[in-house]
Amino acid sequence: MAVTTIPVTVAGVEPYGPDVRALRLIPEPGAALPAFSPGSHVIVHVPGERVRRNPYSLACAPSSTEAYRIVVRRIADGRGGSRALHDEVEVGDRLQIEPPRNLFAPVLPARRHLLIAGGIGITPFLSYAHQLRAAGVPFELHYGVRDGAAIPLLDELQRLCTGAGRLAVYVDPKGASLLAVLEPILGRQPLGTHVSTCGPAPMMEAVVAAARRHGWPSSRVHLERFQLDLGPADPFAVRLGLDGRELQVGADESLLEALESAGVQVSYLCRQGVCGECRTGVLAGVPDHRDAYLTAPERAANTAVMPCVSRCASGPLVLDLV
Amino acid sequence: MSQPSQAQVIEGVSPRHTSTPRDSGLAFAPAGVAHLVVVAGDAPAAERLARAWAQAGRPGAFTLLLDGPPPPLPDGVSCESSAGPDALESAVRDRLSRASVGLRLYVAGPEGFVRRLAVAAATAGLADDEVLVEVRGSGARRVWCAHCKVVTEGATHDLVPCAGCGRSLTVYHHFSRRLGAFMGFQADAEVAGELPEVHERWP
Amino acid sequence: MSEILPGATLARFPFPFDSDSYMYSVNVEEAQRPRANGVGSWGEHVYDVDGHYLDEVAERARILAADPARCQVFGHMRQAAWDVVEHATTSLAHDYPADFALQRDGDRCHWRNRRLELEQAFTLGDDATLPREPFEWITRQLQEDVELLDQRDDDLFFDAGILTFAADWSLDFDLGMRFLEVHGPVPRVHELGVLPRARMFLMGLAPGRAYRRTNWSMTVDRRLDTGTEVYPEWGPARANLRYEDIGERLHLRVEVQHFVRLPRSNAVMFTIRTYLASLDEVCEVAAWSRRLERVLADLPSDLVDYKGLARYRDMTVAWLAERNAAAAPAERA
Repeated sequence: MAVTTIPVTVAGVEPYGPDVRALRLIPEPGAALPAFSPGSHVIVHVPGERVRRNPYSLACAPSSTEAYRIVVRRIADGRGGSRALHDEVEVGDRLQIEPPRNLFAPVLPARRHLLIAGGIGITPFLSYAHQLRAAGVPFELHYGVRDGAAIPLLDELQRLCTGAGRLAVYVDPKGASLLAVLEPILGRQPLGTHVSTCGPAPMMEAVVAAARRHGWPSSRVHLERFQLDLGPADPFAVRLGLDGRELQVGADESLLEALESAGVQVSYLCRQGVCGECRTGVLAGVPDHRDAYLTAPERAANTAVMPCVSRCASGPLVLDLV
Repeated sequence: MSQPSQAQVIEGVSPRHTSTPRDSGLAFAPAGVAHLVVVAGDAPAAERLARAWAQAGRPGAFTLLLDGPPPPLPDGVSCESSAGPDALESAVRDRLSRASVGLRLYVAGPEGFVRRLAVAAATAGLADDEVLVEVRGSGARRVWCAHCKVVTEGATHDLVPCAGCGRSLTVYHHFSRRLGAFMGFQADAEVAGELPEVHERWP
Repeated sequence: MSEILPGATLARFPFPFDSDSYMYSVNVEEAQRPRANGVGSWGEHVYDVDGHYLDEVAERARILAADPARCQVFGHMRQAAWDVVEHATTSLAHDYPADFALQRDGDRCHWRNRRLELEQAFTLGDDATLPREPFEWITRQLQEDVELLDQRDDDLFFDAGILTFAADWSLDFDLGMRFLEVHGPVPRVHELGVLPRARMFLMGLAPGRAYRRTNWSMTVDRRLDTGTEVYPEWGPARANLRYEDIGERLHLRVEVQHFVRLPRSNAVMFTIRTYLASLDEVCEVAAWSRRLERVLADLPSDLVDYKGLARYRDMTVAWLAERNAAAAPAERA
């Protein structure tokens, strides 16, 4: 899907120790950034030989339209996106970001929120704290860090977690003290409380296990798992009919868009994989089905594909089109 | 919606898909760390739950509220009897106001009682997966009048006189979780006096 | 002989049928683009302000005075309510600059509704700066019904809305329901998979682009408020409709629904804009009256029942057939 992106400039960099830095991103002069809902993230297109698309929580007030803040932990053995954001990106550099989306929104009718953050997992909870404070909803934020010398976002959190909000910070190189306090906390929450957690996978698993031990139903336990959007990945080849011309579908466009660019008319409606309108016959090759329309048997038969969202698992994909 | 065809009330709509509640059934939930059981008119159901709790190793406190004399119960069950369904509901609200997450609420009794308690549970902050419900006894429905907003209790037939405004109401297959009642609308709104055949459906 | 030229309102009428038979589908498409209807086009804007604006705003106010429960907002939807204020005022000022104006200085706003001769200074998010609850304040200035869904627990909950122009349903009753529960009584849409897909689509909506679909039914007499609450008021008309009155009294009722993910609350907003055209008006466009005849003739009985057409479907098909037969020779001339 050709995604709209927002051009931003890195206006400031704030380091928190050697591995963590906050980036302040501002829009073009005269433009404003979109306001967003707490827990939202943006996908940053990290420049390089191959553009990496990395999601980062927006660690700022949800009403921030003048600037966004993201906090990036440098991962030495990742795909290179965070390394580039640390080692190569500087103040003044331009980046493209995708508009905010939210896969980790707080449960609005909750009477109380228990927020459990491990390390860099604090980032989505800053916008939560802004929102909950403004709405007067009680919350407890438990924040575990390994290094007490440079705690990301601490000042702002301390200002926000007053009144109905409470902040507790646990400095422990082994990360154990945060988990130790969980037991009594999880056993004493009033009905209607929800627990949300974000941090390293073992930490989140420990929170989930402790919640289960205390009888919390799964509808009350929420995890932020950063899942990269199932966006365009690899380019692939498509043939129009068994003897027809061949097209290339680029990494950043959908099959439908590639067909349209090539002048092929395909009927469509939703362009999101749900309505069925763009259904196209497949004569050869194996589609990578990403839609919500075809039934399981239809997918298995591989004789049809929804070009608005699906791609190619084994090509070239030969379509019943001219 | 409105005037359904005379032949049957639910033509073309599978009961599986309507908003009519699909109850969980009164199965013991061993994941809970506290269990509050409310039973109107079916003490044996309470007894079965209590035994299931005991067999599961007594995971957490088990409290039983019922509107009659207690059945035989395993050791460790805390039991309280109330005068009737209203007193029961009141006792439940009181306990829920002091409860912590981890509680499971079990409700058994006639249809109307169960729906009222489900509303009380939601008001107290319980989620769907923390409340287990089973209708035991009368299936007579609570019906909300779309015209005067009064809820009429105990509808056994698919036509019921509204306790608020007196209109004959069709009891429609649409249920509100917020009100704990089924939709009712005037059965002869199109032609005064032209009423469909009445059938007993929820004795 | 030529056809009677259609009136200006018909040029903008969202005639809903793309084929000669009708079945429920996830007929969602991108919004804010003109849709040709054979005699004009519709669908340029999310909020549609037309020549009926003053009448419909007044009608809404009358209905709310008689039954305040037609507009309700659960407490946790306060942020969503302000999202609607921001979205609607911004859209209206952009799309109808002669009628509406919005000046902003951060969250401080100055709103002018020239059609209602209304001016209001307010601060986004600050309830005290508006004369009434914010969602009701703005929706009283719209012709659309507006419904808000809260996304949580892997589902969508109907947690706020205004519904004064309902096609036989009730906000007071449905408030708080899950998406599939709201649509419980609708025939076929569950088995066809239409509803689960529609829900998946709405849950995947991102802030930014709006989408839309149409829905349709019929109403006797030009009456927008056909809510279940007032069924005793509009019900009798169904039974006393006579053949000779069909052209004037029976109306094709079309809803244009828009779907928008609201940015600050993450709520899903769906708006419902209702249009009525009498069958005489529909018949001014030969293609429409022919298509409507075929759609109605073919409509399965469970949909006929659900859409409330049982008493007059056959009579209407006969009426349309007579009209269409009379018009046909003229086309061959």
